[in-house]
Amino acid sequence: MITLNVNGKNYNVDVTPDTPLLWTLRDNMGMTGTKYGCGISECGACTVHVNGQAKRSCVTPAGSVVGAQITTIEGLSADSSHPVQKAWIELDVPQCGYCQSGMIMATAALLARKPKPTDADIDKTITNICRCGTYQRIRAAIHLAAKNTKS
Amino acid sequence: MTNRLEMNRRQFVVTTAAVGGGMAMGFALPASAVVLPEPWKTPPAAAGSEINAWIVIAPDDTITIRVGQTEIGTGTITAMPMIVCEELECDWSKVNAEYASGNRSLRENNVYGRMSIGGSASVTQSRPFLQAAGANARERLKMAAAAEWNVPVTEITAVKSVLTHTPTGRKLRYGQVAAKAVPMRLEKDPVIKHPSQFNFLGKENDKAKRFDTPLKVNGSAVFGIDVKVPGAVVAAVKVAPVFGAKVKSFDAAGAKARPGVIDVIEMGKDKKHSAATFASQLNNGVAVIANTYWQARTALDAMAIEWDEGDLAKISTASHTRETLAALDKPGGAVANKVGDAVAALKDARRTVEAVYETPFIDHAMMEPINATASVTADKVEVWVSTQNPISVIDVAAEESGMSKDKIFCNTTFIGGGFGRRGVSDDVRQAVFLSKTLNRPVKVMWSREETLRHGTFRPTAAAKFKAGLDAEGFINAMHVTYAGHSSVVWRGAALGNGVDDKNKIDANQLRGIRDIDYALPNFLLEWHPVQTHVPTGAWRGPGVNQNAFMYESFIDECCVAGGKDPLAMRRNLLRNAKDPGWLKVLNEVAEKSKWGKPMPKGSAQGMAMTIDHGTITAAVVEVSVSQGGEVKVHTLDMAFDIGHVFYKDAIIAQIEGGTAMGLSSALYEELTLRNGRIVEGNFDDYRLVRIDEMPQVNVHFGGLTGGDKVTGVGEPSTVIVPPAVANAIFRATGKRVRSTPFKNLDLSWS
Repeated sequence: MITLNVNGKNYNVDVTPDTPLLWTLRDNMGMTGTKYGCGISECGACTVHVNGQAKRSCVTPAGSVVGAQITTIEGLSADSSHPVQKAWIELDVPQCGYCQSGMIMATAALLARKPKPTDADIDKTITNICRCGTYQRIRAAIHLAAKNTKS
Repeated sequence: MTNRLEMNRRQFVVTTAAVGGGMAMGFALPASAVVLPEPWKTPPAAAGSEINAWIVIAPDDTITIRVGQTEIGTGTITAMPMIVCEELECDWSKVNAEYASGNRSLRENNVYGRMSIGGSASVTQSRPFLQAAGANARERLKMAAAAEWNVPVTEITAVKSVLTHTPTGRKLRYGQVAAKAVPMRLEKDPVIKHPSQFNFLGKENDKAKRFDTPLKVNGSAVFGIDVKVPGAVVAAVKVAPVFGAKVKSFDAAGAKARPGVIDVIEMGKDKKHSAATFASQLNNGVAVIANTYWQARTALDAMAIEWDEGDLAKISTASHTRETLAALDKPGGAVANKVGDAVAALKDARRTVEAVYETPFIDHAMMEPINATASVTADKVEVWVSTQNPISVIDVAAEESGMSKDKIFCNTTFIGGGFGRRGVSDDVRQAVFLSKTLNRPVKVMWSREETLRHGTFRPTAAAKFKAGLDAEGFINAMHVTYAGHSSVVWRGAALGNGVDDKNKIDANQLRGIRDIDYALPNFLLEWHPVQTHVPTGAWRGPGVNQNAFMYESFIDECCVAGGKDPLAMRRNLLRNAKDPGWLKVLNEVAEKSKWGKPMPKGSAQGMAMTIDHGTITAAVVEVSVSQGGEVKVHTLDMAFDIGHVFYKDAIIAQIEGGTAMGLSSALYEELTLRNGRIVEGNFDDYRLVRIDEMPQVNVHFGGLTGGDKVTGVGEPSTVIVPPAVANAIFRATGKRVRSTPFKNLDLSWS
């Protein structure tokens, strides 16, 4: 049994410490917004925030984030009002939508660190995979969210 | 159509009540929710009056429109209701959407018509019956208002959910007369609008947002992998890595000793599939059942399994390629196309150009790994799955469970990509088998590796092209010998099902060469099938996704040999084209991309065009190649002819996204066969393009020919990319690219 702080609340979870955070969130805590894509930290569909940093939860042992502040897509905002979510809605970014939780979490972490990212910053930081190929809109939405974020 | 639309409502209500859930009410929903996070469930508004199988109108004027095509990312859950709205003349701001029931369609004389998604055909094929459904409801609402006022129906107009008696100006809202419209019957079907008469599609709906976006930015959209069924256990599965091989032994006891593991079950010892559901066969393998996926997965990974692989393990990419290339030199292929006498004309040609092209197996690599959940009980089977084809789900679940189709219910979830992979229902068969065996609900989950190695892959293909040039340098003869896997024939299945039996060719696999409207006075296309044990199927733009690369690259080789500009060469080839779209699309992209503009050393434009599912596309890319051989695609300009624009933003999105997928297939994607099995397993060795490699995509609408043409753009946007990039690489480096993926080629230059 370990205790995890997710989206501001403490949860006691019955998993072994080496269980990936991804599966702990999904199977033990019922938070399915964080997605499984590859399991080897390649695709970023499982991206969450750990103490504000983007982290790929498929290779993060649950035991390694005890005591940390974990934020998932469900906790990014209560009502989809985060500037990144609003930009995503305004530009209708998603197609199938499966990768978008991870894209949004990666972007939110980038903007928290770098409020006005350049295209080069985006290229370097947003390394998640979208098979539908929504990249052009993701880039535009990142710039839109940056523009709409009060610094 | 009217009869089909108006029949059997009572039967539906009774049946859905019996299964508990069809007309559920009382969800706590945000006011903006027009599609539920569990899209198979019915929004509360659907508790109104069902006018016909597609349309339910509530007293508050909320209209729920049922959608037959899965929202796979192309926009159907928004666009299909838009088509209904065009005829229904309703207020778009009050439209909700839910999935149509495949079970109901089977019970009610196929009331929803086409329920699969594929072939870029959602708009093309569904449009007539969606319009008919909207027109049917509109006219019956008018009849109800006419009865209310006791006036002739011809004096009533319907605009934005308001019925107006024009002589007196009296008004009624749709919600006020919906219940009275239910028993109304039309004497004949209303004539549906021609696209040129549309006032909502392509006009007012331009700024309309997608229904599903809000659910996809907060994690609430429920994909198949997210489904929670009470009492369900999770199965991690592994089937024989060598396709068609058998389980010899496995250590069930060891796995069962691990935490959370409930059972270990061998799958696929007995096969029970018909010819029609062949692709869904239960492959021999092992399932580990546990409380959570991680428990099941780790136990499966740790389990020793021995396989009986036999001679199948001797097949490799090297052996298959040898066989394919050897077939190119065999005489007597099945003749797929013959005009004039290409063989004689080539003998007499002043100059000939010859080249061999190759393309490998590739996977769909949709982001959501394969999964399905099933609950088999004594009186029904419920399935929750990310599917492109609910009817296939019902067919397979009925076959595997032994229950009749009216007892099978497919709950279509959101779907994390499909691209041709998620209509087979092999996942459903596993889930139904395991649920029936364990007598409880089971969610089957494939790892990424299992998903990538057990696809229904894009088949291999190779082609040998030989062209003869005339005195001016234009092409007057071409002989194409084509060899490769069929996309529909595998594992020894007989010819049929998409194969042109008369000519013994796979017409689907030859699209993009056989159906190009180029004027070639002498043309011969021959096909040699080269089958392996590898399962193959439709991959976004079947056939064309590799043939456009091979054919349009070879055309570019002819341009170079004949000293012709690619634009001039294609205009010449299109001199007799019956469809004016060819030249219109070509000229549009040439103009908008500023074709022929000067480019710096190491950079170049590349041009290609093709036709896919009736949609002509032409693209020009700008590419730079570093001296070390690294390729960067900077821009892609695309023009296309789908006839009309119905939902502009969705079209642009498809072209943007299709470009990324086409680029991945050109640069990186290949599956290698070694010892009878696929080598690549995950995104580390099966690379896809990321944001840093995404070109700027410019979509141009000047190629549209209007008229009666209505086609789609989901697949045509993908298939045009590889040849355009290949031709640009040649112009930048002098190196001709004759195989994909380009990552395998040395493109350095000095």
